[in-house]
Amino acid sequence: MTSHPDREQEFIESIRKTLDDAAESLDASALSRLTQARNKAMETGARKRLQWIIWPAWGVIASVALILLLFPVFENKPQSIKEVALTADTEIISDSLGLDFYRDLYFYYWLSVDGRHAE
Amino acid sequence: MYTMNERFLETSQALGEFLETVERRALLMARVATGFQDEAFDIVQDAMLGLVKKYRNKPVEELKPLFYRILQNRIRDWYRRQTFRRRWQFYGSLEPDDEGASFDPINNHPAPESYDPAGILLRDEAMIALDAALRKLPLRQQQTFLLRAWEGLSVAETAMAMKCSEGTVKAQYFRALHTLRVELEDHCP
Repeated sequence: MTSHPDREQEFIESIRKTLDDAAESLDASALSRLTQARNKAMETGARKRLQWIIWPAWGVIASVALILLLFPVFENKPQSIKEVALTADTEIISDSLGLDFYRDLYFYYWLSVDGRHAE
Repeated sequence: MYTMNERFLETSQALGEFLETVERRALLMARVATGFQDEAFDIVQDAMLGLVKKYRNKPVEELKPLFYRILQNRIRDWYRRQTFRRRWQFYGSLEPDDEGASFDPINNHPAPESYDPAGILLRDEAMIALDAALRKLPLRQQQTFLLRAWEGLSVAETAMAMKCSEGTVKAQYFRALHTLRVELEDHCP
């Protein structure tokens, strides 16, 4: 005699088999529609992936175009007095001659002029 | 070197193979739920699209519960639309009685729709009986039973697909099994 859980398992098994048979015996038109549905879903997936590649590429192209467009505008902008002074100060500080050289520039000038007179 | 393109092709192939393994069962589940083959095809196609759009990069072993969750959502959406349509038709056809008494929509709810005869896939007597018994079950019991007993999802996976607790899955499955045993006494052991 089979126990209760065994009978239950047997019952479920018979249901599963009946359903499997029904799934296996789908006709050609049903199978064809399923294949079409699957292919359509897969194509949509491929298109989505392409969008992920295309959008960043368009972003890069747009950024480069914007930089190229704005570059001449910044290039031709006249320098203000402040900017010129700042550039000169930066040059003095950063070159290898040292601050004493610039402090003595007047002396060198006087030496070169007065020295010539002395000769 | 493993390129992005190779990875994409491999993922796509795995996804395609996965859909091929579940599509027939999904179609039958949707057909049992709706009773219409054309509606079932639409639901399955929507579920496939949803899976590919949202979860195409997930590992294949995680796809099954996700796919059935989407399928169950689509079936529920279909039911909601049907209920709304029926209610609309019902209120549209109402004629006030002499005493002006209000109607009870639940008592007057139309009987379940009959099968679309052209769409019936049933081949043998056992399947006809099983199909009829399954359609008598409430939707949640019916789908819980199919996911657990036929598709072989675990209790946790079924709960995830059905958007309910594991306790509810167990209760629904037990009730469905009990009802089916009674209904199919003459057809199954």
